[in-house]
Amino acid sequence: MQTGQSLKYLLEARELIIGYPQRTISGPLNLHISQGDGLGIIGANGSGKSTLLRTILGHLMPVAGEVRFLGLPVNEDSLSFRQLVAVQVTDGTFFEELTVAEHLELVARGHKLGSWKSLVAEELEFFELHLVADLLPHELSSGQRRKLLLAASLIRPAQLLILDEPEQRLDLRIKAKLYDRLATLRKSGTTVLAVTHDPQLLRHSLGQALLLNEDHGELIEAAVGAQWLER
Amino acid sequence: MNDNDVSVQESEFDPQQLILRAKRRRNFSERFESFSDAYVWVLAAIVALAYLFSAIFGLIFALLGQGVAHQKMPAAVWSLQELSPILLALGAIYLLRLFLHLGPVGINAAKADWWLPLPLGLAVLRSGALRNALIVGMLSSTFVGVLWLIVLYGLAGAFHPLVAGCAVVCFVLAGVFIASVGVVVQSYGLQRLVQHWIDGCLVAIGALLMIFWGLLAMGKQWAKSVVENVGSSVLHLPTWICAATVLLVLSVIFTWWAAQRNLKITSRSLRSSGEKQQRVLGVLMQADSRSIGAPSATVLGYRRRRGRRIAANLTIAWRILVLRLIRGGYWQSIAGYLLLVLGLTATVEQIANPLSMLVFYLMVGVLLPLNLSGVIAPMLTQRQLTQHLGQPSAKLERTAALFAVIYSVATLSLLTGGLGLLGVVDLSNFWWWCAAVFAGSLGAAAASLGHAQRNERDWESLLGSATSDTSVAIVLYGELSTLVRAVAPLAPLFSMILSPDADIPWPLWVISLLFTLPALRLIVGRKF
Repeated sequence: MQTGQSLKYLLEARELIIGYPQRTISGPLNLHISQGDGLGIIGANGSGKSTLLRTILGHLMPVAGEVRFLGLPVNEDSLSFRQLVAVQVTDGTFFEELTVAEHLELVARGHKLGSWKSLVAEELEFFELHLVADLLPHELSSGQRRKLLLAASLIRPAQLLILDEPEQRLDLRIKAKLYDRLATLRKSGTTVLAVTHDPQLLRHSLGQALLLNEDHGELIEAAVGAQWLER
Repeated sequence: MNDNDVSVQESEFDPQQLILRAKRRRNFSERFESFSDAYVWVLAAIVALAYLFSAIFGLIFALLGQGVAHQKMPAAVWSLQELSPILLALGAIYLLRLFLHLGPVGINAAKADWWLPLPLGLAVLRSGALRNALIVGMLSSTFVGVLWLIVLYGLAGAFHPLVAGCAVVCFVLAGVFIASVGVVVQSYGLQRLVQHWIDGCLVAIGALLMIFWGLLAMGKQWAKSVVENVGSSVLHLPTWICAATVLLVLSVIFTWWAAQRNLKITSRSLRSSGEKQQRVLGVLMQADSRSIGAPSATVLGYRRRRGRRIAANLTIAWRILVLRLIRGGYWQSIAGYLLLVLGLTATVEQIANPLSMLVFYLMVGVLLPLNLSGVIAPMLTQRQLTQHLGQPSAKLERTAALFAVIYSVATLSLLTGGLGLLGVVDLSNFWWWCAAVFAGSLGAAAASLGHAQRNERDWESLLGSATSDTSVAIVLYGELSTLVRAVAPLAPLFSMILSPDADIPWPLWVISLLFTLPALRLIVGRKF
């Protein structure tokens, strides 16, 4: 397996056209993302932000072009891809019989983290879920379920962290803590890719923005992207 | 990046153990609730099968016109029993097509979100999904096969129990074989191509039927003996023993192949198949069978673009209804039913009899309101539409009622006209027929309005939320009342079919009109 250190880019999209066989949504897009970069994906509703994420993750086939992770085509079946890429989807589903803590245990033990008990406790503390650690998903509020999804994506080590509107349904305090943490993660070498509508996230935690506009994408500075979102 | 999970050693940590541990932790009441849910569904399935058994027998009794004189149709060249093997072949082909649409190997959304992305060997996850696919294949094939056996029993009058036993074994093996073929096709990502072939195969079966029908109509004796031999072969034990042997060999080979290929199915395919399975289960629970036919993406894309010109000059409410009818594919089940009725009546011996006609009208009386209610439901239940469209709810309801009446008149007129052209119903009392069709249409419209107004159409939640026998009875009463409302206004039509020369007794008109009042009230726009 090749490592990220030996390659110029962690993630690349070449002449990527996203969409479905009957309908192209956006493209061609060209992206070059290095280790420790932060990219916010912004755009109007229906511009293809989530579709782009799903294509990068390999959940959807590109209409044309390709996405490469560590120099090789994205392959969700690859063990290393699953080890190195962490994902938080918009509206995740849950095992109805597992508690909040057990969901985090599943991820931590699945990634063979030795000190999983303390890591689970830390995440519960960080997202202020410790009081509901033993509750089942259907007993949580939508905001708490959201926090559980974020905790699951952050409890495990990753070279690439992909987030779909992480700001949704979070209170201001948790949002601020999360944005700080994302900035710290970037400094330690984790690449962050996030679909967002929050200018604060762009300014604070991400360096660049990809503005998806009708049928093309435009790379801009995070501050410019934040201004676009504020308009 | 090329270290696929297939080659990975199974990790010590098994997510399944964590899930099982959580399940075992449930208290007695939760376990009992889970057990009672399963128990209710098994019980409901047994009761439904018993009713289905009676309904099929009733249907066959009517189609064969037991004790009633039938008309000799010039184009009726074969019997129902001679056609029954075709029915079985079609059942198997449709099952394979459905399985290809469903995956058949898929995982649910929770597993796709939480388990699939873990860097573990996924053999446990995959083998569980394969096992589920094989079990579903076995059960669904057996279900279809047993229904077919009931039909055969009704047609043949009797057959040896050994034949039935051997046939059931064949259905079980066929289910395993079909599911395994589906898994192999899925692993190569060839579902669309094979579905395309299956569509071609269905066209070929149709063409073959037409050719044989032509040969029989021309009096070719060899064709007659082929059809008779095929029709009677299903009653002989050696046929089933031979089929069971072939299916056993095929299912062993394909199950082994499927187990090998299962490891090659991509995560993307597992995830998308799981989504499709959830969707199909959802529509089944809403008693909406439209997506079971698994129309291809091309067909759906084409359907979504249709109807724009037809609806262009209509008012917004009418446009919504017409586009729902066309793009939702609602019209297809009614059109298919009408074609089937006319085709069977014209080409199959004994079906041209008054009892069959009665059953055909009865069935359209049930099918039509169910079909229509799906089209008009948003007009009656989604209150926000009044704001979006800027129209009062009474006006939307009236539009929905008028649409329901027009659609019903068209359907019943086509059925009556078609049967009249075939000469099976005597249309000499033309105006009485018109009046009876109109009354029946008003009744179908009234029933569809009633059915659509009950917002909740999900059978799982309807029966699941019924906490006592009384609430189950209320749910069933609601459905029964729809059925009565749909069928009672057809009384004058029934009278004209059974006694074409006699006048329609006035109490039948009274009953019919009583049940049409809800539709009339909505159309006129006031209570009376």
